This record gives sequence, C-alpha cells and structure tokens, in this order.
Amino acid sequence: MQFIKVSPVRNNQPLFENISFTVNPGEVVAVMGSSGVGKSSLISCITENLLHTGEILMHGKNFQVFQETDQLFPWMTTIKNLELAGPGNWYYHAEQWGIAHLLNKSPDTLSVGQRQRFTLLRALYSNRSNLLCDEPLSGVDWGTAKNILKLFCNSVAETDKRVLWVTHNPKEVQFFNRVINIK
Amino acid sequence: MKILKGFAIVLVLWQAGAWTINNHLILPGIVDIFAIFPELLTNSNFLYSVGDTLGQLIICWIIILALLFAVLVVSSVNKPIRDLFKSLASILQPSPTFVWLPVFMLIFGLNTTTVTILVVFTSIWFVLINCLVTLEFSLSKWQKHCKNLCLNPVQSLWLCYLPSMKSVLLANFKTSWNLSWRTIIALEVVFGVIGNHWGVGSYMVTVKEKMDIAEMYAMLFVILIIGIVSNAIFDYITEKKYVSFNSSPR
Repeated sequence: MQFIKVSPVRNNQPLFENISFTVNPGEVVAVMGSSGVGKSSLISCITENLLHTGEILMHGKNFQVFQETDQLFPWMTTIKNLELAGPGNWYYHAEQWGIAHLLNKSPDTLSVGQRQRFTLLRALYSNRSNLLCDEPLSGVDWGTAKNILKLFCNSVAETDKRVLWVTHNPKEVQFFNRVINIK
Repeated sequence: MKILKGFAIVLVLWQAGAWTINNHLILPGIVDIFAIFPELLTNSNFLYSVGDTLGQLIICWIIILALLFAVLVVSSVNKPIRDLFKSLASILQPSPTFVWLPVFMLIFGLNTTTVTILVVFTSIWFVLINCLVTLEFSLSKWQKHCKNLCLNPVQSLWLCYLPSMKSVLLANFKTSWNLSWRTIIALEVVFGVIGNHWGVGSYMVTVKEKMDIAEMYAMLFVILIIGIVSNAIFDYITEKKYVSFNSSPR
C-alpha cells in the first residue's frame, strides 16, 4: 500500500500538505493528528474514492475497513460472525486472543472491548491483505485498548497484513512500526 | 386466550340472533351447526376441498416468497429498481382484488391459474411495500458492513438484511397470509357460483344450493378456525424468534 504525495481534497482545497509513505507487509503504520485534520479522509480516499491529490497504489481493491462502530451482527453468535470472513482456524485464533470462551455467545451480551476484539480478529485473519483502521479503539478504556493493541501488533507480523491505523491518541502509537504525523 | 374469548362472544351473539330470527334457513342455531361437524369432518369431499384450498394457498405463498426474495435481492443493490418497485407497490397495493378479476379471467380463463395469480397479486404488494421500506432502513445501517465483508447480494440479504428485518417480515407475513386466505375463499365462492366447482368456497356454494344451510355455516366456522389456527402459528413463531433473539446465552 503506497501513498505518493497524497492529500484529500475538500471544497477544492487540500486538507493537509502532501504526504508520501509505504505500508509494507506485516507492518502497522499509524497516521496521527488532531481531530478534524483529515486523517479519516485519507481512508475515505481509498474506500469512497474521495477526491485527492497524488496517487494511492493498492494491491487491488483488497481491503477491509475497521471503525469504532460495531460491525458484528447481533443475530449471530460470535463464531458465526467470524466465519463470515471465510473459513479459518477461528477457535485457535480466538484462544490466542483469550476470547475462545465467548465464541458461542451473542455479541449483544459482550462488552464493547470484547466486541472490538472479535471484529479486529476477524479483520486480521480475513483473506484481505490491507487493513484500514479508523480510530477503532476510541470507545475502549486505555487498559483494554493496550491489551488489544499488543495482541494485534504481534499478530500483524504473523499474517503479513498491511495496516494503516488512524488515531489521535499519542499513547497508541508506541505499539506501531512507524508514525506519520499530519498537521 | 383473547381469540378464544372473542370466539365465545361470537357464538353467544350468534345463538341470540338465531333465537330472535327463529328461521333455520336464514340463521341456524349454534347447536345445529356444530351437530354437522362430526359428519363434515369425515366427509371426504369436504376434506379434499380444504386440502385443495390450503395446497393452492401454499403454492401461492411459495411463489410470493420466491418473487419477494428476487425483488429484495435486486432492490438491495440497485436504488432505481428499488424506487420503481416502491412506486409500483404504492400504486397497486390499495387496488381491490375484484378489480383485477375480470382482467385475469379474460387472459387466463376460469381456472386455478387465475386464482393463483390473483392471490399472489393481492398479497405481494402489501408485503413488498413494507419490506422495501424496512430494507432501506436495514441498508442504511448494515450495507457498509456487508460490503466490508465482501458479501454478495444474495449473502447480504440472507445473512444480514432479512435477519435484521425479521420482526417486520413476520408481522407482514401474518397480515398478508390472512389477506390471501380471505381472497382465495372469496374467489372460490365466485368460481363456485359461475360453475367451475373447486375448493372450500365452491363446496360451500354447492352445499347452499342443496339448502344445507347449517352445513354451509359449519364450513364458514371451519374457515374461521383455520384462520385462527394460522394466526396462532404466526404468533408462536414471532414470539419464539423474538425471545431467541434477545435471550442469547450469557
């Protein structure tokens, strides 16, 4: 995933100075900046073809978006939700993440942190090679977020996924390979 | 319980009316009507008629469900088509069945095809308009997630939109089934009068022509009881689905 001199454009104005960076396989690159600076618009350039300067090179339209909003279907058990991403050794992965005992429960009965853990696990082990995360842990307390980030960053290296992580929380970036600050 | 109470009130009022009129050829008493039941329930012609009507209604509903599924799949991916079906449903849903009866009779003749098409035509628009409105709400909430999971239109509808709409779907199916049941009986009565004897409604006309008024009313009660039973089945399914949706293991 490569960004070459990219800046999202709104009202004919670029939102920030052009940025260039590459996200390599097995790497998590964080994009950090204050609220309203245009971090999420950078993701929208890929997902919604938002007008932008420069060029974004992707390996096909092969990406999954992960946001703060809940993405688990409440009428299915969590294991069925995981299986929506395709076949996989979901029990093993859930065990690694310490959530195997919640596999047959309804998402409605889980906490926000547990639900985000399942969603992130599904995104990570799906068959998509690019993962776009838009402040996914902003609704989770820092203690839980820290545990999720540790598990997540360890697993990214195993899966060779390219991850772009947008955040405004400076505490989160310590876990990532690189940080791009936008102003 | 409410239905049974309502049914009991109808029986009491009926008997009071029968005593007042005091003419068994106009309104026979409840006892006379229920005395027919043992004979009626062992009458193979009657049982065949009931089976025929219910079988025909089930065929109609298989067609309705297949059409509904196809329209919802297309509507979930294409907004202009969704708008087109919404407009069609808004126009056609309020039109009475009997407005269309001559048209379909002229095209298809006096046969079961006409009845099938009329029942499907009467019921589908009502369900469709409600389903399309609910689908729009479901799309606004879940479409992004389905795209994110790379679900195809059929998978999206089957795994996401339909489960999210299930309480509305069941309520609409119940109302629409009742509408179909009433329509098919009414059509059979009309077809019975015209001479093409077929189904419960037509059998009722035959009985009336033989002046078996008590038997005719007994058949009306059978129709009523089948309607109440099918309502109870829908209520049971709705309640069961609702409970299972909200009481997942903790």
